[in-house]
Amino acid sequence: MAALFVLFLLLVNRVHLCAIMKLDRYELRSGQSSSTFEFVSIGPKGSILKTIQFSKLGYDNIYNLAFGDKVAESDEMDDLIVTNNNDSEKVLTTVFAAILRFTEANPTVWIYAIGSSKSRTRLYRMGINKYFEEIENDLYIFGLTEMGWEKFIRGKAYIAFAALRK
Amino acid sequence: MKTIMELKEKKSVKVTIDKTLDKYDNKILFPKKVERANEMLSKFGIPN
Repeated sequence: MAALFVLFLLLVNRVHLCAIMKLDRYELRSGQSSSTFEFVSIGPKGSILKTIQFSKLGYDNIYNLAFGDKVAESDEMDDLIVTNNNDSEKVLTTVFAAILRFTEANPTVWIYAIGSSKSRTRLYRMGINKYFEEIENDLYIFGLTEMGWEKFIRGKAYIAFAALRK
Repeated sequence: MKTIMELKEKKSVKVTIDKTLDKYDNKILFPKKVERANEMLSKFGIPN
């Protein structure tokens, strides 16, 4: 009976692993706390260093997700820049991977995500729509409307997003 | 036989640890975004 249970876990784990692994993404580097990540976007505009950061907000257990391009030779970040490196989907799947990593290390935290512009928020929504099946293996996803929060509905417009580890 | 903990570890996203990024642990790199998120949080809270 125990062996069957372990076999079941192995199969579940394998299916789960396949869902995540099939997403094409960049290699991530992070600090020891898994709150700041970097990766290099590669495309027609060259190699561009990008930074992802999870920052604690004013309430316990809630973190903001932000990412953008690192300004050369400084610690400044630009989250408004449009890189046009023809890899926006790969960038988003890399950000999803960072969320998974951060919530592995901090499984009870909420993640807030708001686009730096309407077009960036739309890009987030499109990414969640496209990879929703993979994402929802690990995360509860919510969308914010002017009426408040609701469970994420594919195709619906939202002004912000929240995620919680399952 | 593999333990449940070993199975769980397999699910982990591969990340290379870079200690030079630790310097950002107490630094907010996207302050405007954090300010806006705090405003939204105070208005809408978190999902029920």
